[in-house]
Amino acid sequence: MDAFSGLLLGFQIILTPQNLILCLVGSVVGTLIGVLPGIGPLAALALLLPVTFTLPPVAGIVMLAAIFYGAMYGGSTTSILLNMPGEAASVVTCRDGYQMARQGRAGPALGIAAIGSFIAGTLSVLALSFFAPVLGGFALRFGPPENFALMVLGLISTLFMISGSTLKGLIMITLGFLLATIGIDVVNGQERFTFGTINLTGGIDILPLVIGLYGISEILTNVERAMSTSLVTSRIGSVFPTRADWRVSLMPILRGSGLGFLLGLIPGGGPITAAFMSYALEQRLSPHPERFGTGTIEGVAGPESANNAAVGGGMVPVLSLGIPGTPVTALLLGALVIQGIQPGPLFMVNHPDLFWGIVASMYIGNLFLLILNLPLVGLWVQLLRVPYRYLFPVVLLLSVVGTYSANKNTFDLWVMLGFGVIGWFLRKFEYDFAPFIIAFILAPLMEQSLRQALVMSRDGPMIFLHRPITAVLLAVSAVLVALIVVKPRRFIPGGGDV
Amino acid sequence: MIVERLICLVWILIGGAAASMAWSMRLFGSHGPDSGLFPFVAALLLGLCGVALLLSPRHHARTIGWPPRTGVIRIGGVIVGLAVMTLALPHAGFAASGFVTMLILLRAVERAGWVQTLLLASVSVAAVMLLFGLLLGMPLPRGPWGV
Repeated sequence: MDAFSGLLLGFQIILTPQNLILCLVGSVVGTLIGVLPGIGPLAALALLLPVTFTLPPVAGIVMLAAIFYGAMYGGSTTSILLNMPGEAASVVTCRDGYQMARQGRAGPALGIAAIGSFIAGTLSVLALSFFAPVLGGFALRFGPPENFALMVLGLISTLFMISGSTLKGLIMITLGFLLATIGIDVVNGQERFTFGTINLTGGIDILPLVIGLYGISEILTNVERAMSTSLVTSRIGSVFPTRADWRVSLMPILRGSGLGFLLGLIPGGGPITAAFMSYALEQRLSPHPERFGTGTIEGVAGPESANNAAVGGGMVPVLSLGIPGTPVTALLLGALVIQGIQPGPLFMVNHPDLFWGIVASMYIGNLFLLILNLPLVGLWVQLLRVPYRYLFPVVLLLSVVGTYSANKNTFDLWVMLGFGVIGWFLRKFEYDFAPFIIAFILAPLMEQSLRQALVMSRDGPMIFLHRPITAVLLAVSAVLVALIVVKPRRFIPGGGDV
Repeated sequence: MIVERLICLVWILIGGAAASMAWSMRLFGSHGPDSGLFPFVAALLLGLCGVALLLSPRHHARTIGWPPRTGVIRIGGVIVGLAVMTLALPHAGFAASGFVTMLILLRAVERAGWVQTLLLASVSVAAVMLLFGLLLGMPLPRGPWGV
């Protein structure tokens, strides 16, 4: 199916009242999550994942995807008005956005963030529409050995983009693998690491894990010290940028869109890296780099465009190869698996309605978000007046309900609490959870591919070297490992969390 | 730092124990790889990474920001609140356990006034029940009094 007829099919699917409402709900929830500091898009996705169990696959995934890109829009509002990122990808927007707000230019800053996000989001979905089918078509040649090698490459690439130590990242990957193997082996029914406990025979569920690591541990970190915020309360004024603002912002928006999309494609790249790289690029290209950090609009336009474009880019490997590059896309992949859909190269062939429905929903969702973030920005500003001390107990209640409602099992709540405490503790020692979540979700597919590859091989592990695509993918992985060992990586602040 | 080294030892111990258990599951069977192979490789890697981390201090965290005493109490309050809710949820239902948890969090952790606490606890529990129970159709656990 070519891209045009695919998009036509996608719009036919998405333009139904139920799907449109769920896309809108996802956009509103995503913006809310982005605006409110203390709860990220990953925890929000995990909380709402049980809601999607009762929905048709298209409707459920459309809502979850809308939460993801909605959070990217909403995060800028908090960065600009509070100097505190609503979600990690908006950290860099604090620098110039907050300074603009202090100079009485909060309106243009919020406006350029929303418009830039819309342009970048739309361009990246356009690129996704044409690029994903090509990549997916190529990936149809892949068998189990290629899939395994691709997942190895994806995980090693993730190590390049995480914050902190790569060795700690590797530890997180192996822990993710080990935890994913708990339960009954589906091939031969053997119990693994269950210690005779009935609660572990089904394995550890992804929901309590994600809510614990990203929701509870975040709250524990935040309540350590009473949070004080400084909301810029002066009138926001017109959110539409002036002609002069447009003149300096247009190229950063376009560059951010391209850069964000490309970085989104790379496993581990994601919105955070895209935003930081875009900021660095704009500063380097600017004739006045010294103005960055003092309230220059390019410092908002570029990164905000880049983090939204990375969402579209990040969907390419998920939808065409079944390889997630970030924990959020890994969770989206997990949602597909829960719905009984096998992700991978055959996804587009077997489920064109779902693939094109998701793509079409992203066009519609971007439009919803432009409306939600321009005329309705005042509403989100009012929400920022809610003190965190009243907010976090409600988030905790939601976490308990979200975790419990999936299996109606209190064991999941203990897992959530346990991982919350472990997560809080490990954060102190600069462990990044992104590789852990990605490895946990990829592990069953990876193990299956490894076993199938070895069963079909006459030369044991040599099959990975005899097949050209596999050999190339593993050679690239080896080069990346060598680079990690030989050349110290540049630190990317907060990299890899989303 | 001693705590960081202890964490490395935990990784080594987990890796070693998991590798030993995976070995007993058999790595290869008559038809190829068996249940133990994948976890064995993962456990082995974990143990080796733990050793490498123990021996290379440049990978250790530069500064550890431990919370002040009041912070520890607040964290303790959140953990106790969640534990109480987990224990009470199947027996007392969502409404009662959620309300008590909110009381603990708002009074003990945030030192909010009684009026604010009671108001926020009631409103948030009712809002969650309305959103999840009624609008999203997700049945919440009920206590002996029916809610």
